[in-house]
Amino acid sequence: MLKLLRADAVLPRGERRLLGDFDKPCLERYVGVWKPESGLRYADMLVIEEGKPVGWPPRVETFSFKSRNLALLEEKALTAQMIEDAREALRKYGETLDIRRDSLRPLLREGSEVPVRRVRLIYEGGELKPTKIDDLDAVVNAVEEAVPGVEVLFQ
Amino acid sequence: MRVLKFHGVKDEDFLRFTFKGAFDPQAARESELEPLFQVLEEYAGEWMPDVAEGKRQRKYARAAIWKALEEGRDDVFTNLGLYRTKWPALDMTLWLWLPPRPPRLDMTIKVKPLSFFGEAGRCRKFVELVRAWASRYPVSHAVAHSGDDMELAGSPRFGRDEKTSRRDGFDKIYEVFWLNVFGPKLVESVGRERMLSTPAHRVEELPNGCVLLVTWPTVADFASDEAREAQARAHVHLRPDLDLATVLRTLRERSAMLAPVEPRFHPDVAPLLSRVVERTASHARQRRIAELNDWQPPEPEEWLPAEAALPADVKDPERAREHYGTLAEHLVALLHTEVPSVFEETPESLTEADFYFWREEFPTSRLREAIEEHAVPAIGAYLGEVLVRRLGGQWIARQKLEEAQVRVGKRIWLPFVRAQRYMSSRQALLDYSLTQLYRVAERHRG
Repeated sequence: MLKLLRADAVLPRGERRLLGDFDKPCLERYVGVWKPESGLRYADMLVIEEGKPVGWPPRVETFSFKSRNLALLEEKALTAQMIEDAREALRKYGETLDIRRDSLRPLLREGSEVPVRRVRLIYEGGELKPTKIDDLDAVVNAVEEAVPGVEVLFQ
Repeated sequence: MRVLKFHGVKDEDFLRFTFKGAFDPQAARESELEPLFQVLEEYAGEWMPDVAEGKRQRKYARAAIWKALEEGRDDVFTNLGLYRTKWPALDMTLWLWLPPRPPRLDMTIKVKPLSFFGEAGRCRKFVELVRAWASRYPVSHAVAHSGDDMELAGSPRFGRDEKTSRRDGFDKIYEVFWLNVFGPKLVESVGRERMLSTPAHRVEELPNGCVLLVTWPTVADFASDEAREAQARAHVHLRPDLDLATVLRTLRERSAMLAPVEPRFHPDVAPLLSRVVERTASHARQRRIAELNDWQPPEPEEWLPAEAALPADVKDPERAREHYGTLAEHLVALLHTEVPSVFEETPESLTEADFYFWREEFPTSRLREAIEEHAVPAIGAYLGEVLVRRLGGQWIARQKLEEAQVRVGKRIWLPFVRAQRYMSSRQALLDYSLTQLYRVAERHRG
């Protein structure tokens, strides 16, 4: 997944599949982020806009990678599990984050607290996902409707 | 009360039904939903759910359902799972979206195996059930068909990207399946007259303006020539822009992809490939069998003729052999919970190990350093130990692991070299399987 993201970042903007909302995405692994309700957590990947003119709030998105066997669950249990994962991702890596990595300060400009535009919850492992697209799309629809601000993807 | 796991056994084709509808949020929930369960109880027959689940599982009864709907309530929706404890297996979910969202009533039903619906009577009852639901609740689209064929048809995206497909849903007649309910918008897009004159087993206008269309009396034989012809004729009637010959060809190609293929695997790897095939999703399984029928694993190269053996170069061969034994035990320690047969050190345990590593996508899902440092030595030693124990082989100890050999008859085998090559990729697990090396060593035992 990391390789995919890095490869996506260097494509021309129009051709990017995941990072098309950034002009110049800067990818950082395991970034310490603080929220009063969840304390210090490490985002698997944090993407931040590089080189925006001063005065613009920097665009920030976070990625949370999960490896979980979802292939054997009934639809209701599958949806419940994914909604729980999505809510957890939003709680820990979404909304407003205090970014603790000093080296990112120059990109943050106005203090270390930034709004996160989108949290991506990514399930890894091709063998672990439901085998039929009909099943997948139906749950992803339900999860994204139930937890706005989180986008669910399967690797 | 033990619910039958829908995905717990070998993946096979099932009847998939989806219903996109709405309910009246003003009405009391029980009076609004009561007809839904009445209809289910009247028509489901042999696939009737016997367990209802909100948070907890309860024996199916109306009281249990109201309780479950209360428990399954979230701030966004409430949902209910309905299951069975006996065959046929059932995975049924009911969703009610709560205000301020539009009051959607969505259902999915999956019944396995699809062959259960080979009987015209059961199919007729299923159609009556859908007809009753679609007459009582507003519906935009409902469909029932083979889950495998829907997957091959590209449902639910039908060539659109995921986002567009999720936003627009089934907004035009992308495909006609066995049973279809077209909501007023879809009917309007085709024209009511045209839709009602569709050549099909059953076409009926429902009181609320929906149209029920069933292409063929039974669903289990959806792939037969006659059923495909009926499906194609209905589709092109609703989509005059499509050409009958092309639509029919596509449907027949799908039937061919699902037609049973007799496995004729290379005998040395047949036990492993059977496991791989069993694990393959049902819609892809027959193609996988055909592919593996044509595939021949390369002959093992990790051997030397007996006269070319490297002589033992360690001071204490006994200790070296103990070391190989210890390394082999590392594999047992790694695998024994998931692959209990690994204790036996038999050719079958080698196949089990091959399958485990393949299933786990081990070469790519684990850290490369851990594979090189721990997995490869453990696998090589384990393979060597099985050759020793089951084929009367002898270790020829060497200081370097990759030079360690096992003599079996007239051949000298290099198990650590094999393990190294084996762990290089997921495909390598099949190309250089332990299963195959054992079989070849057995044949050359002399």
